[in-house]
Amino acid sequence: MFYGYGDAIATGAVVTMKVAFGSLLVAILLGFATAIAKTSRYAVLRACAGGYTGLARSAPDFVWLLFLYYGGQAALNRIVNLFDPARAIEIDSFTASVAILGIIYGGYLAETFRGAIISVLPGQIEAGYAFGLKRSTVTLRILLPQMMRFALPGLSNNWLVLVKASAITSMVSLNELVFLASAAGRATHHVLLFFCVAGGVYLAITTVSLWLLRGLTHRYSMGAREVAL
Amino acid sequence: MNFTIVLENIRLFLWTNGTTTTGLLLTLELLSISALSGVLLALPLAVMRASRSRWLSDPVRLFTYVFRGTPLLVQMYVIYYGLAEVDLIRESWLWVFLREAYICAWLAFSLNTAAYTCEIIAGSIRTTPVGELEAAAALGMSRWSQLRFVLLPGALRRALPAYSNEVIFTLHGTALASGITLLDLAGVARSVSMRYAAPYEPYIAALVLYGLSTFVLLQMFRFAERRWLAHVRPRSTSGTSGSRSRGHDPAAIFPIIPFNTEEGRDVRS
Amino acid sequence: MSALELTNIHKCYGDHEVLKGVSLSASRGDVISIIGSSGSGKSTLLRCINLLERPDAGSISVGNEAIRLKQTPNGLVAADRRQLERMRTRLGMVFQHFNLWAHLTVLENVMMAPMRVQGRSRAEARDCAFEVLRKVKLDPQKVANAYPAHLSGGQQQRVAIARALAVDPDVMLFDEPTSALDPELVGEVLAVMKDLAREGRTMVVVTHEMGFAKEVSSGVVFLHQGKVDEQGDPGEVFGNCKSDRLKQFLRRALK
Repeated sequence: MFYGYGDAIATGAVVTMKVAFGSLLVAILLGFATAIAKTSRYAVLRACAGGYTGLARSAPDFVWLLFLYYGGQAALNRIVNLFDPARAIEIDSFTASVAILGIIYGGYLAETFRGAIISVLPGQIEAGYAFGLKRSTVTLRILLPQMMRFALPGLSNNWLVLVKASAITSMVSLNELVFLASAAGRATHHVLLFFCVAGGVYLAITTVSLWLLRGLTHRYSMGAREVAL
Repeated sequence: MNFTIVLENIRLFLWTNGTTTTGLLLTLELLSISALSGVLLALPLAVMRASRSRWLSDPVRLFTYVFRGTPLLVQMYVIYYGLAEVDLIRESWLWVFLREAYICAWLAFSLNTAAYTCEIIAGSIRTTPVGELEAAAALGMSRWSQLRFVLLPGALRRALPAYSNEVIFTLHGTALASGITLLDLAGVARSVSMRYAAPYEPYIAALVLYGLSTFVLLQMFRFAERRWLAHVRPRSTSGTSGSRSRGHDPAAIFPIIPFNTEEGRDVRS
Repeated sequence: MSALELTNIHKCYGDHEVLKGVSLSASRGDVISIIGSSGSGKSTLLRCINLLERPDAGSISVGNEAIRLKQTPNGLVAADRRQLERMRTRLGMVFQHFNLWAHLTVLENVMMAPMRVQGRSRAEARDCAFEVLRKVKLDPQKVANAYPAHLSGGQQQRVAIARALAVDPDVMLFDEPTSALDPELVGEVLAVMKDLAREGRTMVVVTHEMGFAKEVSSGVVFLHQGKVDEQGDPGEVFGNCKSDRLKQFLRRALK
């Protein structure tokens, strides 16, 4: 049906999801740490966190990707060549993509987490301290669980964004869905078909994700009377 | 690092290569026309989307589902490479336009931002306080007047923070135009980088220019919000016993890109 | 024996001096009511005791052990974090807005501090929790697995009292415990507090409930604009008050 390229499409879809998931994990770790830094008492931490999130969100993820990918590669090789002039390191596009996308979207997630942190009622935290709980205990057992309820919509959103953002990694030759669809299309002269198929796969991933996440986010949505025309 | 490469080509980066618009100017041009047509398309679509009638809202729902559920890159490729395959299009009057990368990019960006903007405005319409419309109806206003004078002005104002988000993303999205041979800012950076085998400087220049543009856009929106959202700005309350909040107000306007999490106001790429 | 000793507490918010050198002492078994109009600094004073607010000057001792403080640009903070945490378990606090941990059940709320701070075993904490819940007139079997949001305000505040009781504090601090409650529910919380007072608990209560202050306390402190305007036992303060400001305040409060 797909002129023999069905496997390629399937492979691409899997790589897409792997990249999206991997970078989501990186982004969550970075984002949470940054959000904590942003709400910390130390101005230095706040400044660094602010700088990071500001930079990450000020330019297209695509341009960051190209810069960090080619520039990062070159810089890494420069450093390696200081020790061993003969060696040339090449980071595979998968690792690089996961790391770079994670770094970029960590900046976005930091804002989501920060909003969630400040949405937790201060009284909850205060009560924790008033009873002698340590700072780490308060963060882990009171702040984090309550924060997650506020962060969940933003997190699920970010997952969907990362699934779509993974498409730009085709520009650095990662064999994900768009890259393979493009190759298949050119080989068979059925470009429209394969890009539409790729689109369909993204839609499927999005739909299934939304369906799974709706169950979770439904608990946290507020009921309000809606206006309909 | 050697920035003379950038400085020698600064004209290219900023506005032209002598023949066509390139660089920052092209990027801003694409942003403007796409955002404008996107909004013009989104307004009637949003009204349809918020309608109770399924004949009106379902087609729009399908449109936004497709355009928000697939990457912009794929949408652009379908329009630029995909449509070129279709004989029907190649032989029609549309081909004059659709064979131009510029038009294809504009089309893709517009449809994409229209879908997101539509959902933002529709969401805003749906959360209009019912009382405002009831008051208008009680005063004898026709449905059309209610729409024009009460519903839309309120909804558009409340959509402003989320929409500013969306415009920033449209700006960032224009970088993908470099993927279909256009020499926008990202395209120039790539081209210069490859020509001089310089992996850092051209991209740094592009990042700086994008950053500046983002900043200026944000300031413009901040100004707009100050003007048009003055009615929801929080008033400072006197400190009362027990309230030790550090001034965290959900309605406050964040200085950097706000991230709302309701449907329609989402992060997008 | 002195259970609590505050000496010369000062606190400023920017230019505004909220506490202008307030001293307070309580012996074992005392029930001290702090009264005054809004802005007089009552809550701030209470929150300085367990250092939820940072006083600018002064000293705090719980049961003859002084909290070690050090000066910083933002006021006095605890010099020894561990000591502070230890001291805080000797001071149980009940908040105006309950501040029960919304994501935990009633039982988990009450068991948290005994387990995580005092290091008691789960079984021990559970038994203790059941006991204190009974003490505040709640049926443990019924409420143990409920979430705070499902309880009435009066029930929530009583759970908060139970939570404070669970650490067996030397002094209990109440920050306007009934101000956020609907009138019908105020009575059940006051009843529990009366029981605790009768038992001999040392309590410091910031309150607007003059009835409680008059009938249950052993001492009343009237704060006006950050200073102790008058203090003494309830009979004197309510019956024979010398200060005009207090007279005015009582006239308005008891209307």
